[in-house]
Amino acid sequence: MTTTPAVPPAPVAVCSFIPDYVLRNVAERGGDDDRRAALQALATSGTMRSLRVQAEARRSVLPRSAMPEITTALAPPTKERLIRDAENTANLRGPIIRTEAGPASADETAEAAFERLGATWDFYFQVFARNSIDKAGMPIEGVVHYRRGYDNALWNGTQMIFGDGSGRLFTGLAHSLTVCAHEVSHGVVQYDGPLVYQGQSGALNESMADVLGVLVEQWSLDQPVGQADWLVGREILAPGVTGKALRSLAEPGTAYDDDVLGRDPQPGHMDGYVETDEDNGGVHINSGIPNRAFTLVAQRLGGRAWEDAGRIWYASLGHERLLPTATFRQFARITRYVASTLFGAGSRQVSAVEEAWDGVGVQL
Amino acid sequence: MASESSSEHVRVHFRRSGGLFAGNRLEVDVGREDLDPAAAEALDRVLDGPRPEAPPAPAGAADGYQYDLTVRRGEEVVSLRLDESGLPPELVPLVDALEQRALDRRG
Repeated sequence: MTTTPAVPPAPVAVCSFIPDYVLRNVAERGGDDDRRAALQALATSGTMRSLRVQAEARRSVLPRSAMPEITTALAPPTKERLIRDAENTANLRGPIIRTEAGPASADETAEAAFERLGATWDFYFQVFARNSIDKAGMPIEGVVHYRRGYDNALWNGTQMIFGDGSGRLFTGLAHSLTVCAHEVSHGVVQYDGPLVYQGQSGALNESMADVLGVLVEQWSLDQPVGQADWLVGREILAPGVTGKALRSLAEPGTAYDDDVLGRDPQPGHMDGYVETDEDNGGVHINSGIPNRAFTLVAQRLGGRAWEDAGRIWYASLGHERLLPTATFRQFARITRYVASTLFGAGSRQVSAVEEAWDGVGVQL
Repeated sequence: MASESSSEHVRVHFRRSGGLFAGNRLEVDVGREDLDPAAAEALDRVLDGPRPEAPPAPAGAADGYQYDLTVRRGEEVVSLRLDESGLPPELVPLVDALEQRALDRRG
């Protein structure tokens, strides 16, 4: 028999003309137009709520002229993207070569980043009613042509940074949707978690970015679970590299086996957990375990992975009980609690979550 | 600054881990005499100071490289762990040179 863990629900403070739960129902079940309107209202509601809190806090000490500009919050959320050119240096404040309002850039890497960062913004807004990385309309800022022959991409706390690749290992990293979405999702983790970038919490941080990154691609393609390949960075392996991607969420440890890169070291079960002081305690290695847990949930439930499985994982990331230093087990317990809250204690979603964590050796 | 005689015995072990994916690891061991002047000067700073400050990565940062440097001069050993997002500017020539040497060696 399944029981609901004793984790209290997050407090919900709602005060708007149409309650958020009604908007959420419309967003989930309404037609396209109604759904879009409800999502915009939800995102605006979130912005209004935060402004209302700020206003309350400032009312007693600030003059009226210092109150927040409410009218800006009433406008529906819109994408705001910005691409800078590092010009093959480490300069992160290089010239701006693409903006939301400006013309297309002649630089195809800038256009690739612009498009993929935009698709990621769309995913978060359409699926989770999230207004950008910080939920408050933060501009999405990308930096392309970082350093020379740089085989990496990263999130530095405020920007997504992309190398062009050396051509020996990788080609331009901004040309992969899953890589772009992975980096944006690190920003989301920063604002929702955060999860300390070390050991198991760091591996959870990496796993969330992987999971959300592949969900962006699946959503963009309207791809059912049965058609998903669960790969991150499929497009950027250089010619001659023996492999299919940077990582496989469904089959950790199988993404590549190459003379130069070596063999994919990711485990898919706690039996293979790697203790190391490198890579912040193996955050890119042990993330294979929660990655596989997610794919097991999604495969068990079928349909579209961003719907039930994605909702459970995303809500778990933002859950008030998620500790910055969470272990796999602690996170797993939160996913079970969230699944029971969203779908019911005896639901197939809860069973899928329990079986998935058991399948990767994490005891609830 | 390291003298000419002591510089002959200075070696640095460089290890890069992290990055967007787990397989992008590099390692190399280099003598000071094989470094370009800017990199050698940065190496001297590690030994004879003022020691460069190595701030932690900015909050929330992810996928940057983690650099581990172990510098040896006789019995003296200095170890530094640096995050790419918080790399002290005075150490950039050294890290760049070591990274390039490791990449050349990897082929």
